[in-house]
Amino acid sequence: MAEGAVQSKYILRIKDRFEEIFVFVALLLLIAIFSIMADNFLSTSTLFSILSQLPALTVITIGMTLVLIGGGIDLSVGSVAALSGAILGFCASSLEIPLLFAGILAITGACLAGLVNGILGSYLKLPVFIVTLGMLEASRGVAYLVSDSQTVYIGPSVQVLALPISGLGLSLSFLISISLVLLAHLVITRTTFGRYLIAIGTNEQAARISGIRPEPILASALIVSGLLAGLGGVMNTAYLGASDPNAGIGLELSAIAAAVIGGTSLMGGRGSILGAFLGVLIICVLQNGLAQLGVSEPFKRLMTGLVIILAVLIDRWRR
Amino acid sequence: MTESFSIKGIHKSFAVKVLDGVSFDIDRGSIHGLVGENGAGKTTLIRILSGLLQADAGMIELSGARFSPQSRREAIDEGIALVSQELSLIETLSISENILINSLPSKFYRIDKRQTLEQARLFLEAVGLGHLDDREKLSSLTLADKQLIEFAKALATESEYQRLLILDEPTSALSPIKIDHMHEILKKKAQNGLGILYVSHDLEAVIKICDQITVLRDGKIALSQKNKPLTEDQLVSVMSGSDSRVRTKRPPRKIGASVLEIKGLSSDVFPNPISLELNQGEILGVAGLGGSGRSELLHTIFGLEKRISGQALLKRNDRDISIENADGAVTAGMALIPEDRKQQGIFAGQPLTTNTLISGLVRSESLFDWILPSEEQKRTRGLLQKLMVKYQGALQKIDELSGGNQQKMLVARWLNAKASVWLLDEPTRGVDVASKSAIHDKLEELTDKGDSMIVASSDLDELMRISDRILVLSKKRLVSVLSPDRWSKHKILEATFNLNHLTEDSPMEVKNSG
Repeated sequence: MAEGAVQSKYILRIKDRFEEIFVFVALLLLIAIFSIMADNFLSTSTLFSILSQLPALTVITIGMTLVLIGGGIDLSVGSVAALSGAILGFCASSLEIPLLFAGILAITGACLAGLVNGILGSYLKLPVFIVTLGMLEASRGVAYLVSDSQTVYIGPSVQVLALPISGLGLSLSFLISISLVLLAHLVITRTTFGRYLIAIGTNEQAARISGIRPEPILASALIVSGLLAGLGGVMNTAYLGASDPNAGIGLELSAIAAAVIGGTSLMGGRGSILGAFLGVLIICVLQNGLAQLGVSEPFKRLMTGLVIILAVLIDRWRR
Repeated sequence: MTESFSIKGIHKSFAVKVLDGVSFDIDRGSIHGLVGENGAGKTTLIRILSGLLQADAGMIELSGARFSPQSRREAIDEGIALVSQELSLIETLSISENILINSLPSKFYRIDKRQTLEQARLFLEAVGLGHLDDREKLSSLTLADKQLIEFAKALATESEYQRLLILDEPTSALSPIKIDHMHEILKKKAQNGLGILYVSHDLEAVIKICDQITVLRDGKIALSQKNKPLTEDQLVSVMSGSDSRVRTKRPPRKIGASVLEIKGLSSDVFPNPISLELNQGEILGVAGLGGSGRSELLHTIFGLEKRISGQALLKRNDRDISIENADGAVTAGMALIPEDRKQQGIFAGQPLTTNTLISGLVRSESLFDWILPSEEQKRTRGLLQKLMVKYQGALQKIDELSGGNQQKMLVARWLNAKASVWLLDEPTRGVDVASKSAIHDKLEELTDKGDSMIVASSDLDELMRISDRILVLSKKRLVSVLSPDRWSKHKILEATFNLNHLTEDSPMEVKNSG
């Protein structure tokens, strides 16, 4: 009897995490397929390639998932990441500010973009889709202005973030992004803030009647999204060793795709940070695998698109 | 013998029986009035006649031909026009396009603008809106004008086939002169051989213009006869049922000091300032017809609507807390169970834990307080058991529960938030009988412990069963306050229909007379 109860509890827990488990199995399948089809897929070079691309998309996807759970969307993350990179480049090379402070300034700039999104989209109740679409253009413009539309070379000093730590084989960027995944997962599943965000995304009116003030919660999600986009921009700059104002074009779509593959609903109220991280892995594996198979760019994009649609279809069919 | 439109043995049930064998005839060439209190089944009957809803049993018969429309389209084809209570105008189209929407004049596959204007003008003049400029935006018109345009639209869709015109509360926003004008048009239409079903809360108008009147009570015909000898008072008596029915007596509650004081409060949605006091351990009932402002009053008190004037003070240990917004209300210990459970109450798709505990988090935890899943589930189970909610597990989704159990969960949510002043809007609507009495018992238990409640309901039996006083609203205004020794269903209905405008206690200042 007691054993039965334990077992049903265990099954319940598995059922509870079905979303993530399903995505994880899909990821393993994908790796298996590429291993069979491409000779060199299972190699350290592939692993390093994936590990180096992973951090920026991961942190940006975390922010996107938070906003999506709250019932919003943040289309500006790609441009805000470029803005952050441009600020970093300008501060480090033209103003010669120490890198640490330049990085802080860059992320502060990105936070400000998120703050503007939050004030307009949450407090002034403008449609978040339009506000962040505007911010997508505006941030890109500012990034060009700050960088004078030039790629700014910073040098190896900034690359410490992206290079593997000796003896560990993992970069600081990677460690930060993994920690943030765990932190955000705990915030969503284990804190009052997470409950409020889910409640607002599910039914804003009911949340209000339950005593939650939606405005500050939604605004914070957008600010955090800006902050994480800024961090993503810094990581990307570190990876390249240079700040490129053209970086991150279309990144918002990859982030949305990763979140959706991981089981996050665009209607709000439902989403998983762990799932979104698995979504990021799927996208990175897919892109690297297809590249190794020598698939052309157009075909690569076609395949990625199909995988995203397939993910949503499976999700719908499951419900 | 006049040809008539016969309604035969219509039955319809949702969770409960709504229509129970309704039969009556609407003669062509006459105006037939349909009245009844809230929940008597009028709206359901209208929806069935106009094809928006299918009856469980029964049919409609005209000159020997029987039919039961399966869609609005089928009903239109049978010549049944409907002017519904909710406006069906399209704001982005012009006035004339709205009126002729069902048969827009066209030329070479394009809308003929001149024709449209000219034809629409006739109908506008017919309803007394000849002065309106077609370029005016619908959104800038008054509700009264929109209601008349809706009427013009029904006149425009009239055809040779037209047999029955159903009007659901067609005059609720109109001034007396415009009502008279509309009645003239209806009489003319009836003389031309149209059958008209006139559904209204305005008893005076019904008596004035209808040839026959049918009264629905609890889904059954309570009366259906020629109008002539009927008076408003008789209609109210028939609607309320025999007054000899004994009210269930409960021991009088121990009522304490004032806990909520509302002074001259008004808002965007409840524009007439209202003052009242709620005392500890008291249940204050709120009665009124649809549109009288019951929900609006509760939402205004709870701080959900933009205030125009006044304040709501919650009295706590000699300290008064002014309620400005919903989160303030919840933090101060107020609860609101809204009328629309799906849209405003539950978090669909979320587990029972989140649904049950959410307001408690607001009341007691700070933003980044840690939640332990096992603790959360234990707490949820405890709360749900207290209310005898039928469920399988604390992580079950709220959607899987029945309406009655969802409603009990909402009570549990506020128990967890330690609410002591409750605002409940239709707490038992659409709830099965067992859950209904369970909810009533719980409410009485809570007031015995010293909680206070304002309960708005369209169910007068419910109000008379649980209330210590009943406020009556009409047209977003407080019209009377009744105490148990003076109330009867008849009296309350009289007040909701606003028959004698000021009843008994002074209307604006509500104090507990007992």
